[in-house]
Amino acid sequence: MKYWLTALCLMTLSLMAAEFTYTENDNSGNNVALGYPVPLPIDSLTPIDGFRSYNSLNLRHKQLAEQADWIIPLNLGTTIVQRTIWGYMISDSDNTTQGGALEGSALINGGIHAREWQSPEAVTGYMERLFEQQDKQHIEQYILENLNLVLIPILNIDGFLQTQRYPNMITSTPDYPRDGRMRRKNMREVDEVLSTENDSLLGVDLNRNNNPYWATSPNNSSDDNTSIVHHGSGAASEPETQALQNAAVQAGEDRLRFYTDTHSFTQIYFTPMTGDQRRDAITANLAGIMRAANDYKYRYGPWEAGSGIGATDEYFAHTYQIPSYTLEIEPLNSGADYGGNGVSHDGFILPASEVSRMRQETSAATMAGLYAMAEVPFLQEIKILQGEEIIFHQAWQVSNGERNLVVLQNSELVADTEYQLITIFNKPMRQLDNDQVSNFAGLSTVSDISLEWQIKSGENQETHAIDTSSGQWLTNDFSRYKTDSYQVSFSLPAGFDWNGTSLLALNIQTTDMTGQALDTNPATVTDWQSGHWTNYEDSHGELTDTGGTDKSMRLIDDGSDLYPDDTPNPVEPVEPETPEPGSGGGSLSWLGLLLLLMANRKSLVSNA
Amino acid sequence: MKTLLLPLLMLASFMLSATEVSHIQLSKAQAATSKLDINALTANTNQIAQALTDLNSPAASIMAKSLLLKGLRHTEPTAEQSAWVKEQLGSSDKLEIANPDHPRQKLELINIARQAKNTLFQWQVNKKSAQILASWTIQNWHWPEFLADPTEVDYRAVAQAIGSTDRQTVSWLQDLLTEQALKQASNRLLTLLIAEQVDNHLLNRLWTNPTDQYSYQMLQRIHTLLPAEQAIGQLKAASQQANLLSQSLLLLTKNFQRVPSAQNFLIEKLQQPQSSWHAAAALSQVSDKNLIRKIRHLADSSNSGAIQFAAQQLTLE
Repeated sequence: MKYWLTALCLMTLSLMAAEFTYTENDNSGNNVALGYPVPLPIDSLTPIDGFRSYNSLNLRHKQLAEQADWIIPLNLGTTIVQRTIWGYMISDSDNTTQGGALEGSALINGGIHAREWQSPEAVTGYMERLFEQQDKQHIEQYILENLNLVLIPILNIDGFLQTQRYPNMITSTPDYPRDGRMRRKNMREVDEVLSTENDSLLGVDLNRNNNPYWATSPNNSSDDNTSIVHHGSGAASEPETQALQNAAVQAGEDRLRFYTDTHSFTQIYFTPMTGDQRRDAITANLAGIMRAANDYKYRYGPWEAGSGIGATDEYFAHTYQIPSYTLEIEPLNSGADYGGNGVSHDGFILPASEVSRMRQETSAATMAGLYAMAEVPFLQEIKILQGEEIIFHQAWQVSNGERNLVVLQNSELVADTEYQLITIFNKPMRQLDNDQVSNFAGLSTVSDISLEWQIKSGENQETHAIDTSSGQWLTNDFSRYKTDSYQVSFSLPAGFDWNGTSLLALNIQTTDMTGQALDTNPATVTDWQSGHWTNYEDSHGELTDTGGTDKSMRLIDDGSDLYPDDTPNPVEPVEPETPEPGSGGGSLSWLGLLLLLMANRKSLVSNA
Repeated sequence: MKTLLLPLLMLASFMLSATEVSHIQLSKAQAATSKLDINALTANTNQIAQALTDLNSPAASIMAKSLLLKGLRHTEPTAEQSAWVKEQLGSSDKLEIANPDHPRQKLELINIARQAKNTLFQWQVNKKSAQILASWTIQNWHWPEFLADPTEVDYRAVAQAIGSTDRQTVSWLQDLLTEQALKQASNRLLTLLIAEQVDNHLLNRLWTNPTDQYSYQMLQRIHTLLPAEQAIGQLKAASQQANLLSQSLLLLTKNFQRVPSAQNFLIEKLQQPQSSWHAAAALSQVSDKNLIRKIRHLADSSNSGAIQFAAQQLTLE
C-alpha cells in the first residue's frame, strides 16, 4: 500500500507542469519580473488603459451592434468547446457606393493567437472608432457607406480565455513559456487546468492550418501536436479556421478586396506575394498607405511567391488574389521598448499604459487602408457659382452600370467674370486634424491639386490654369463628406465666347488622401476583380491601377475622343506568368518582378 | 600562421554573440545549467569564467550568465560582483529562437547586456529602498518631496519598502499622505498604499483623479480587499467617474448581483440615459431571479432601447 501511494505521488508530481508567475518587480523564486505592472483582464465595456476581459469585449460588441443597425452580428461557427465565434458585418443597408458602384468587402481577423492580447483590443478599437465617428461625415462614415466590412474580434476564443484565466502564470520555462498567459494555439485536446503537464503543449496553431501551403514547410510548421507550430490534422481541420473561411463567404467572396490577420508583436506588415504583378504592386502600395498613417513606425515584410507556412494571409492572398496581410502590432522588440526588463516573450504583454495609444494608431492605419480600397477617387460633379447662384451644374450619374454626364444647370459663362468653381469627388479627399485640413504623411498635401480649363475654338486650342492658391477643401458646405469638395475662384480669359467655343473641359489633377490619383474616365465604373482595379484609367486611357489627370468633365463637348490619338487605346495589361506553387520562380520575368518588389520594399523601408 | 589562426577561431567562436537555438538545443542548455550551483558562483565571481567554459556550449553559457545576473539582484554587491556585472553591460551575448509568428524573424530569449542593466538598476532600487526604510523607522518622511519629481528608481524603491514594512508604518504613511499631499498623489502611489491596506481617503482620491491603468486595476480587485457592502460603496463611488462607470456596473453585476443595494443601484443606472446602455449590457447576463424580475417589470412599462435589450438578452438565456 505504502509503495503504491509513493508511486502515485511520484506520478502526480511528474505530471505537474512547472509554473512561473509574472510580477512587476519581484524576481524571487519562480517569479519573473516584467518591470511594469502585469496587465490583468478588466471588466469594462468602454476602452481603458489596459486589456478588457473576453466577456467584456463580447458584451461590448453586442452592445454596439444593438445600438447601431449597421452592425450585424454573424454567427460564424463554434469553437472546440462550442463557444460561438462571432463576426460583425459593418455596413449601411445598400450595396452601392456613393459613386454608384457595387460595394466591395473587407475582412479583418483578430485573436487567432491567444496570447496576443493586443489583437482583440485593436480590432474592437476599429469597431468603436467606426461607431463613434459614424456621423462625423469623414473617413469613418465614408467607409460605413461604401464598403462591407466584416470584423472578427476574437477567433481563438478558447485559447484567449485560457490566457485570461491565468493572466500572470506560465508553464514550461521562463525563457520559452508555453501555456497559461503564453498559450498561442487553440485548445484541442487541452483542459483548462494549468498544472496538468500532459496537455499544456497541445493544441493547433491556427495560423498553420491553412491552404495552399498547409504542411509544406517542415521547418516552420509541424505534425507534432506538442509543437508550438502544430499544423493540425489537415488544412482547415479546426473549427476556428472554418469560421474564418465562412466569414469570407458572409462578406461576399466575389466582392472581397482586403484581408488582415491581426497579431502581435514585432511591429510589421507581413504579406505574401502571389506572383500576380498588379495585385502584388497594389499590396505593396497599400501597406505603404497603412504604414504612413503612423509615420512608418511599422515595417514592411513581403514574402516572395512560391512558398508559405500555412498562414491565413496566404489563404486569402492566393484564394482571392487580394491584398492580404499579417499585421504584427507593437512592440518592435520587447517590453524593454517601454522601460520594462525585456524578459523573454514580454513583447506579447504590452504594458497596459500603452494600450490606448496602440488602439488609436492601429485604427488610424486600418481606416486608411479600408478607405483606399473602398473605391478609387473620381470627380463626380462640378458646380459653378456666380455670387450665391448656381449657374452651371453637371454630374456623373449611374444608370445600368454605366455613368453618364448629366447637365443639371446650364447657363453660359462669359469672359472676365469671377466665378466660384466647386469640384465634388466621390470620397473625402484630405486628412483632418482637429477638423483642420492637413497633409497625410507625404501621400497627400493640402495644396496638391491643379486645375485648368481646356478651351477649343475653331482650330485654336488653349489651356488656362486656375490659380489654386486661394482654393480650399471644404469642411463646411461640402457635398456628403468633409473635404469631398474643393472650392476655388476663377475667371475665363478675355475673348472667351461660349457660343464660339467647341470644347470647354476641366482638366483636374489631384489624389485622394492616400495618394491615389483620379479615375480619368468616370463613364466606366471602376471595380475590383481578379487582383486589380477594373476600369481605372490613367491619363492615357490605359487600364492601370494608378489613375491620372481627369479631362472628362466637359461643359461644352465637341464629341472628340477623351484620349487623343497620340495616346494608346485602353488595353488590359498582359498578366505576368505565374509560377507553380512551390516552384520558387525561375523565369527571367519572374526574377525581374522579385527585384522590382525588393526595390520597392527597400524604398518603403527607407521611409521608416 | 595556422597555429595562431586555429586558437583565434576557437576563441572567436566562443566569444559569444547572438546564438540561435532550436528547441532541442534550448532543452539541452536548460538541463546543463540546472546542474550549476548558482548561489556558489554568485558568491565567488572568480569561478564564473571556468564554470562557463566547462559547460562547453554557447547556449548553456548564455543561459548560465542569465541565471547569475538574476541571482545577483538580491544581493548587496561586492566589488567583484559589481565589476563582473558591469563587464556584462558590454556583452553582445543573446540567445534567440525562430519566431513562430514569422520564421524569418528571431525571437530574443535572453539578452545579457540588458539583464546586466536590470541587475544594476535593481541594486540602485535595493539601496534606495533601504534608505527609505531607515527614514520611516525614525518617522522622517515628506510625501511632497517624493512627489515633486519621482524617478522610476524612487517609485520602485518605495514600492519595495512598502511591501516589506509593517501595517502600522503603512497606516502612518497613508495618514501622512492625506495630511501632506493627497491632491498631488499619483494613482501609482495611491494604489501602492491601498494594496497593502485599504484606506477610504486614498480610494476616494483614486476614483476622482484622472484615470490610468492603476485606477482600472485597483477597481477590478476592490471586491477582494473589502467586505461586500464596503466594496459596493466603493464601486458606486467609482461609477461617478465616467471612465470607470462601465467597469463599476459590470463588477457590481459580476460580484454582487444578489445584494439588494447593488440591485437597486443597477436598476437606477439602467433608467438614467447616460448610463443605461452600460447598465443594460451588464444586466444582460445576470442570473439572480429577483433582479431578472425587476428588469422584466421595468421593460413592461418602458420603451427604452437599453432596457428592452437587457430584458431580451435575459429572455434568451
